[in-house]
Amino acid sequence: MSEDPEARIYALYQEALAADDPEPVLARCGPLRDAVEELLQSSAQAEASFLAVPALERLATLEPGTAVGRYEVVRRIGGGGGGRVYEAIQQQPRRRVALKLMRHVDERFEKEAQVLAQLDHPGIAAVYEAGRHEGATFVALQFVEGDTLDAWSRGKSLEARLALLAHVCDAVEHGHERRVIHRDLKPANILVGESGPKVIDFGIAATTDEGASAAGTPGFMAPEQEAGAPVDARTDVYALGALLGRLVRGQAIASKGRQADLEAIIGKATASKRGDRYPSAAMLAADIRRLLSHAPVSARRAPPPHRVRLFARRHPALATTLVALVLTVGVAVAMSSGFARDAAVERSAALSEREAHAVTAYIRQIALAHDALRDHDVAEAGRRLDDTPEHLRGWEWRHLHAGLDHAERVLDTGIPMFWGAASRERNRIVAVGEAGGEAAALRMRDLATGEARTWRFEATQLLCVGLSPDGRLAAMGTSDGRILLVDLDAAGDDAIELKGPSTHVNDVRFDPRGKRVVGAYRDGVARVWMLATRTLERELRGHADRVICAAFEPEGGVLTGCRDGTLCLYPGDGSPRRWRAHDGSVEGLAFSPDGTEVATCSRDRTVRVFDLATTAQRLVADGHQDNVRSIAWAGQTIATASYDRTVRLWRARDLSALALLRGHTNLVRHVAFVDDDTIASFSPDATVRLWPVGSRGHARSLGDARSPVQQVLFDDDHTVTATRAGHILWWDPAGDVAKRLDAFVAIDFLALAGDAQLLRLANGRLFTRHADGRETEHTARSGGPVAWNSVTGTLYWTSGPRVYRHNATEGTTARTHHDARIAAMVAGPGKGAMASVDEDGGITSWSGARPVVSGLLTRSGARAMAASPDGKLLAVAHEDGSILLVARKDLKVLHVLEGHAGAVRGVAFHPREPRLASGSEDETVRLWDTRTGEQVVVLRPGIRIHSVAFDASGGRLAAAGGAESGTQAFVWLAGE
Amino acid sequence: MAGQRPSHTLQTTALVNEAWLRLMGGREQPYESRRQFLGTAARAMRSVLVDHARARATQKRGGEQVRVQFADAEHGATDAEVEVVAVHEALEDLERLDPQGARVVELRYFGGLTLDEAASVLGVTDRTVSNVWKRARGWLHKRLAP
Repeated sequence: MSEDPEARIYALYQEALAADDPEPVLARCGPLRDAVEELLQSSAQAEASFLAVPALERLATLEPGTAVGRYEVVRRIGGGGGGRVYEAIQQQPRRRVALKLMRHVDERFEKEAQVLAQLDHPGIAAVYEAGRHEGATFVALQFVEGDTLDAWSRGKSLEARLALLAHVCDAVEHGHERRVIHRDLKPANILVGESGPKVIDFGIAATTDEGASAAGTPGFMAPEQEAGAPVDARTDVYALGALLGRLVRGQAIASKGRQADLEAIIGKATASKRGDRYPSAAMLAADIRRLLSHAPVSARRAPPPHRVRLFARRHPALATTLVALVLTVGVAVAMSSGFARDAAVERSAALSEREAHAVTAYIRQIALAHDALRDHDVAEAGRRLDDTPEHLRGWEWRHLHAGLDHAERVLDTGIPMFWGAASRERNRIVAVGEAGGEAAALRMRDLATGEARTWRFEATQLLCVGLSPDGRLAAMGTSDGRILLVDLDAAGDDAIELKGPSTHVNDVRFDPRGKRVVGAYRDGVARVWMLATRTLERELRGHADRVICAAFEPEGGVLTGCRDGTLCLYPGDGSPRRWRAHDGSVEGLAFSPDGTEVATCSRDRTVRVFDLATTAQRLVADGHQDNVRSIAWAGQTIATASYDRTVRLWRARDLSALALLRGHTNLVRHVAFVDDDTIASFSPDATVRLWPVGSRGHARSLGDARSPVQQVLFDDDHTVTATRAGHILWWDPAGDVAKRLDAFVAIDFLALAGDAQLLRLANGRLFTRHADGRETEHTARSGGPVAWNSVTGTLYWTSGPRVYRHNATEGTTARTHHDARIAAMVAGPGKGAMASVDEDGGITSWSGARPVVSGLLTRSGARAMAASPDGKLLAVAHEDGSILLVARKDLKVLHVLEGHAGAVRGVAFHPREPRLASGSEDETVRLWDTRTGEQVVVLRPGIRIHSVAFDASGGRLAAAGGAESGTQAFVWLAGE
Repeated sequence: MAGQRPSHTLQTTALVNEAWLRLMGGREQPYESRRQFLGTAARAMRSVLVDHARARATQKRGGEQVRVQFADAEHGATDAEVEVVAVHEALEDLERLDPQGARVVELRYFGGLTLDEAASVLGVTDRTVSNVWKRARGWLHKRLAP
């Protein structure tokens, strides 16, 4: 290492410049630090125009008379910076122009020039044309005759100066409204002629190739511009404030109050934090005019917006009196950004108009399919889904398509099936249905052997079927009062008839020993038949209306359900007990395996469980959208079949919903357990469907996470939840808790770092919990959001407006590029990328420790953020239910996603498709098309959502949350 | 018009390319020799342009010594002659601290080469040239600041 300090400074400067974060290098500089920092600053400031024009071109001058396009050069009138300026004459139409010749323009130039050409304001020198000539680019501007601001101001009164600057503000505001930032406002760029001031070179500084951020002139350049950070409207406000300061310098001012007002205006306009400045040039102009008319200026009474909010938070009682003020400031913030309002300009930039229409048509089909599926009309939903172009199909398509049929097996019966029964002993199912004409059919299928048989009964209508426990005998009820008995194992087709009164036999069941059958008759009587003698053993007359269902209880008694909603229990001995069970017809009943309880289903759409000893109702649940026609109970699971075309599974213990199973295209008449693991359902859609008991459908609640879930994420095929009570649970695909970690206080951030977990606790402490159970606490505390980049192993955390960044190799560094407390943050994708948004809506995209671009969103109240996997988009979710979709490169708002009725707490991009999922306190999860900003589908997990996540392959979507108070929380999972 | 071109041309790169074509008589030449030409041309142009700027500045200022300083002229424009001479002299110091940086500035500023042309002359990546250019320019900016 050289001893020469200059060489040493240069070496350190070179190193700091090359580093992502210069801080560690600067820390080593010792006494040379200032010199190195000056060089770094100089490097940042030099970016725009310094040495941009090669020596030859600097020295070359166009001779008078030279033709440049359709302009003829008259004389050189200025130069330097990014180009040279000539006075020239245009032939058609004949007029004087200022011809600015520029080098180093990028492809954005012509687009920008078109925008500049649209500026039409008496205070802005018009841009006539942009073109190319011999490899250089020129802009033809309105030729303005006048003095520069400095020259003009000599001898002018304070009032004249103030009035002039207000006009300049108006002109600048006009540009801002069209999304053009001047970037280099200075006295030489304001020419004052007979018709007032004209701002020249509007936006031209942005079009040179050395980056849009740094142009500008020292003394008029805002700190963010000097630092090479992205500029916005407030950067020009700073320059206008500096111009105002220059204009009034040394002027006699009438009163101390006015002096203070003026100082307040200049101070506010040139505040070093842009959040403290006037949000727009128009606001500055308004204050200058207030000063001119001796009205109170806003600079002396209005605190910055975030302070107003803080104040309102601290003093709720006073907050209402401030509402008007907050509104004024809020509107100003919305106006100042100007970028968001023209979202339509950028909209669908990636999509042609035709493609955008196709996407819209697709989303309409998806909505119709979703509606159909909500009505469990899978046939209609399937048609809608099939009717979509394949290349447009996304997660929602696969999600809905997977929701069409959850059956494990479909047995095509060829004829509409009304009723069925299954023998668990023989693994055999039977079904009865219409066989065409006046005929009916009994179909038997042996699931073990695959053997199938059909019996045909002419001039008969079969209403129900029961199967003996040994699976050998089938009993069928007819519409004319007969019960037909068929030996399924016999060679012949003969049926034995048990002949009752000529009325409907609505249900027929065997007793547990296979000695008797009971029929539920429409005439209000249940009849018990002895099979051995084929004689009527008992007539049970406890009901006053049609008997719909009947079954033997394990003790030997009979339970019947009636159309009037009553149940009647006829014990083997003793008198019958009748009680009101439902508000509508009792359609089906099923005993618990131990025989102490009965589950019933009803036309009133509910499922209930009664204690047989006391007849007390123990549980009630609803969910079906139509008549619940049939119920079955095996082990811990109850299954129901409904006219709403679905089968539902319920946990017997508490009647919590386990699954909603779709697949039948017509109503489902009957459901039965084939064995403890398989359910069969019977429908007039001519199919019998078999479902595994473990089936959970494609969207389901995983279970109770014990306290509101703050975050959900995926760890391979496990779903991981972190809760406010401090539990981290790993849910396996079956919905069981495979692993848990407890005993933390509330966790509000969780990231998985290989085998370790990274946690942020509600009290701000940050921990890494290693695979071996060791915990290391990070030295810093984070008062705000935390983000983790798993690629680089970098942890970001925040404290107020500061972002801290830590990784093992680089240590910890801090950066501030926010004016207010950071509200949300996201790391990745890729190395070093990070984005943050503060509570006032200030947004910054970072690369390593450097801010790449900053802006101001049209709204404040950010709650969550996500970054698209391609790195192009950011989503910012807000308290008011809106989500802004923002282009990462320039932070322009591409789409405002509106639909949620409550705060959006979680957002996640799909890993492969143009989809964003959002979860809200309104208990919905919504999916959006990120290209068009349209809402694709609304999913309703039925809980307040705090967090959403896609798994790595993009197959499954998890949402989790819970009530604000209370302990119930659910994880909701939707997959393909 | 073709005859007037050198004095009226707006872009150094175009000039250098034209010079190369005339030198080679329009024949295809290996890439390597073009690279060498661009490097040599930049050095030659530096010497010609600095002499020219010195002479012009002296004429303008009536024989006064050219101040090696960036002067902000009346209308915010920097005097081109002063800039060219100042950059040349500062580069002599930079050569001692950062020879590569000085070379990149020479290629870009005096040779009029684009970043990728400069990269190909030096046989390094565009990214490297861009970084070197940035640091050298930062140093020059500070050095030449008034």
